[in-house]
Amino acid sequence: MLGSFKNVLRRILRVFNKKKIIQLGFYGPVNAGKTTLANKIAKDWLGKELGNVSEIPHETRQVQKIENVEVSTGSGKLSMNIVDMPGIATQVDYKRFMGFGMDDEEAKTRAKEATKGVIEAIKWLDNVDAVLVVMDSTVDPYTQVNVTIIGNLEARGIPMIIIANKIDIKGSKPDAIESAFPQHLVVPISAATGKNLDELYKAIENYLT
Amino acid sequence: MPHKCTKCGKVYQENDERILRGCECGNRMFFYFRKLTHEEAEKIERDSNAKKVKSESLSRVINDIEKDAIWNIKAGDGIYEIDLDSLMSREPLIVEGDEGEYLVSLSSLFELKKGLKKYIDIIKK
Repeated sequence: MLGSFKNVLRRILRVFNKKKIIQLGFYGPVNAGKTTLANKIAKDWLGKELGNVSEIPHETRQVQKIENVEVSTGSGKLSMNIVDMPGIATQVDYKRFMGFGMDDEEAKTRAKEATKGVIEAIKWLDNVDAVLVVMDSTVDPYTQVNVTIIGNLEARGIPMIIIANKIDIKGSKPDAIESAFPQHLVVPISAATGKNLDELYKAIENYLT
Repeated sequence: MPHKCTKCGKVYQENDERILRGCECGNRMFFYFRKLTHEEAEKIERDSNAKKVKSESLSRVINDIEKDAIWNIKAGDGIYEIDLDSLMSREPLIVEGDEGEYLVSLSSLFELKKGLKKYIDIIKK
């Protein structure tokens, strides 16, 4: 309740102060491409990357933040703090990591860290102005994780844009994401190639600032 | 599973011989812990006429946790089941670990659950 009130108050103050820097959280299931997107934006506009990217699930297990990213949108400048969150999951099983060459102990440590990461990511919801929900457009969007994230963001009144990522991969279906969440703006992009990122920046400027 | 005396509320571990011999208070009836719905917990309390434990004891904490069924995470040897909805709905952070270890985040209780705020930060049994 208190967090929700603080969120609303922060947004009201932002409107009156004409605050231009937004705290933008990247949320979504594991391996959706959140860190790839954060890295792409950071590299394009700051010349440096934020975090490691890997095919192994839960590569990002701590919240990573990069401040004062300034992006030219054509009509102006967009200033944001990017907060890349650990992937959200309903189950973390160490056995899944063992297929990537980890031993028992390493895999269990990773599972524990990943679970803590989920908690941290959710706690950070009280500190973001807006959210990009990053989804993998090559997989079915009707998942408990996606539905729970979207539902809770709606309940908290946090503005969001849904990213249909990985459109460079054959078989991607951004339309399926649009059909699943018709009440929200869905922007198809490829974080890996940078395709449609200009559209994303415009969408952030128009819908989230 | 741990057993709790229906009369005085004392908690005994799974292999404690007191479960067979009866509680220190003389009572011989126990109920064991499992995740209960609110209704189930209330019914058990009514039926057993269990006294409320006044102290900030472990049994009270566990009892309240069970009664409120506010688990966020269940852990078992490297496998974690996460109740996303309760976490995102700002339920207090309660973790059930291996072998009956319970972790309770005091900060989350302070912020979110007034009735439980007095309890200790990390509870192990």
